[in-house]
Amino acid sequence: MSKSLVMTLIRKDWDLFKKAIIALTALGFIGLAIVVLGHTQFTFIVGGILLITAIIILGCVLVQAGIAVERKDQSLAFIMSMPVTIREYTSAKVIFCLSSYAVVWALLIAAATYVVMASPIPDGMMALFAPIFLELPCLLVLMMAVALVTESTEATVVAMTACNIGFNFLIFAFIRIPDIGRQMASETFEMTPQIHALLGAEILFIVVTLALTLYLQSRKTDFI
Amino acid sequence: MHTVYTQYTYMHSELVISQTDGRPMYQQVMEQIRQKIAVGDWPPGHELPSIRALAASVKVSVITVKRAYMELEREGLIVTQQGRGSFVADDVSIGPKLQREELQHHLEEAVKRARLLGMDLSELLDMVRRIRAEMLKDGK
Amino acid sequence: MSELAVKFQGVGKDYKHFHLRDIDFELEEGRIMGFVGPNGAGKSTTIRILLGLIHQDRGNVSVLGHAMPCDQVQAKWDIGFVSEDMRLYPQATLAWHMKLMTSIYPKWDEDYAARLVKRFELRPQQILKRFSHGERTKAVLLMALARRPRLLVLDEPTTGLDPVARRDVLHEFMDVVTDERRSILFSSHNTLDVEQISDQITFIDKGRIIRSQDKETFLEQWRRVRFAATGGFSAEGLPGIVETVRSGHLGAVITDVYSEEVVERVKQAGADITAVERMTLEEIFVANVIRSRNEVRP
Repeated sequence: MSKSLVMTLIRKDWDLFKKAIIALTALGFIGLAIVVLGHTQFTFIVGGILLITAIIILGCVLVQAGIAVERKDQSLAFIMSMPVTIREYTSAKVIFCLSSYAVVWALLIAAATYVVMASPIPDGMMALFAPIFLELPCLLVLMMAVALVTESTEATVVAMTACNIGFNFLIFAFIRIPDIGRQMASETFEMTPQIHALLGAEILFIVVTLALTLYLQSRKTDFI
Repeated sequence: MHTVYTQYTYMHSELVISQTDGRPMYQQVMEQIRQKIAVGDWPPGHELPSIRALAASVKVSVITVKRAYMELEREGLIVTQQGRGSFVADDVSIGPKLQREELQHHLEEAVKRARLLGMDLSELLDMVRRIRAEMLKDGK
Repeated sequence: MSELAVKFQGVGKDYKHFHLRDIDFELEEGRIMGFVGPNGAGKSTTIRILLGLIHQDRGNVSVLGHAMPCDQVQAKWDIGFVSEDMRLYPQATLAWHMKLMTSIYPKWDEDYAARLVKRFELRPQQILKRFSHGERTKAVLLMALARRPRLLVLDEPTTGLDPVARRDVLHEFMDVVTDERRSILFSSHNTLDVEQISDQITFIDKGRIIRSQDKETFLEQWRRVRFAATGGFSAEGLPGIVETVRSGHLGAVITDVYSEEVVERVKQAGADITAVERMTLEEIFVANVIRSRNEVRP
């Protein structure tokens, strides 16, 4: 009787959080609609803020409510009494969080790309936006890793705060990269080696963090 | 009120065990089985509930019921047939025999206790006579 | 010889401030084991090692024939675990949880679950957040019971239950062992219940097993011997005496190796025996703990 419970766990998390995820995704859609349908700088900003807020809150909900609270409230004990390994539990959580995040993230990319391409804003801004798009899943994956591995609500809150602050600082750092800063005012967008390297580094960061999370979780011997 | 009763009918059990009775539980079980036999609720040849079924209905450990059945078999009150269950012995004179068994138990306890207290036989018999006299006086 | 549901051999676990040592005990199939000990004695740790949730540092653990912790997933298909601090999801209903169980466990008995819902007086459409403490406990027990697992492992299952609820729950436990292939291991501070339904009692204190025996033998070995004696009498040094209490001329000694000889020795040391009493599990528990507190470890 060796049925894998990974799908069941993912479905369980979906049942528990679908209201929040759908609400935040809807908020994201509204933001996108405002950006696309409004044509002023004002609507661009309002829509953009709604979208970014939706993404940030979703990230926090997934990590805090989905991981940290489950452990604190001892519902985790209930899950671990089931025939499931730590690796299966971790995989289910990671898949659930990433896939729930993906929709709103895709909306953001669509909105920003549209704005840059279809509006007076210089196309070169994509040089800045592209690494920002990838920065978001990097931070999500980092928060998830901290929540799962440290098993500490304090550490998770610190990680969440650091990620939110870091998000802004990283944008400034990106602007200082020559190939990006130079393109921000230009009408054309060029994928230079520097930008390739940056995007590659972000993808590598995501993959390594996920692998490290799975590895560290599998090595745990005392789960509760 | 009616709902409470229907909900609790499943809890009707053959015997009733008290948690605060000083005697070991297996003895309580034995005594109640003896009474059921003595009053005829469980006539000779009647099949006793399985050890596990009785344990579940009375809410005592299986090992307690096992011991009670074993002791009752030693006393000749019940007969256990391997693979078929336990039955009340076919002895016709079981009623009075049973009651003598119980009296014997009580007397054994009394003698044991008297010995511990350092009473000798004549002191014990004096006590018995006094008690009997009291009872007769009170019209028992 | 029936199979062993649980077997611990030489199990140990080391923490910074606490050590579990030489844990050895066996639970035969079809029996109920009561696990008794003061807080901090190591009951919860032992139970979690049993479930493979904590890996032991030394020793072997076998549950339903599976080695733990390596085979824990296989084993957990047949184990129902309930612990006092376990919670269901507060934002979901009882019915949702029951459906979750159905989707996981093929052996989930829907009819039995429905009967338990009625018996425990629970409302399936209510969210767990609105359940009272007792109702939450009963809900978690229901999750484990309706799966009809071969082994039920319970860490303080009746804490916080009113006497009627406790009786209902005990009834369900006893129902489990009408099947001689199903077993229960439970830890509880409710010594009355442990004494009543356990086939075997395992006593643990300060990370060690003090005794693990079938209940009748265990209880048979303990007695309180009451006496009257002059000032000169002392029970010190008499073998088999666990504790002595005195008040003026009267007193009592407690022995954990009861036999007629022990009583004789007390008498010969100069006391007049007034009574020899059996002890309840609660009294034995207290006597054990006091003795271990007074002991000086070499």
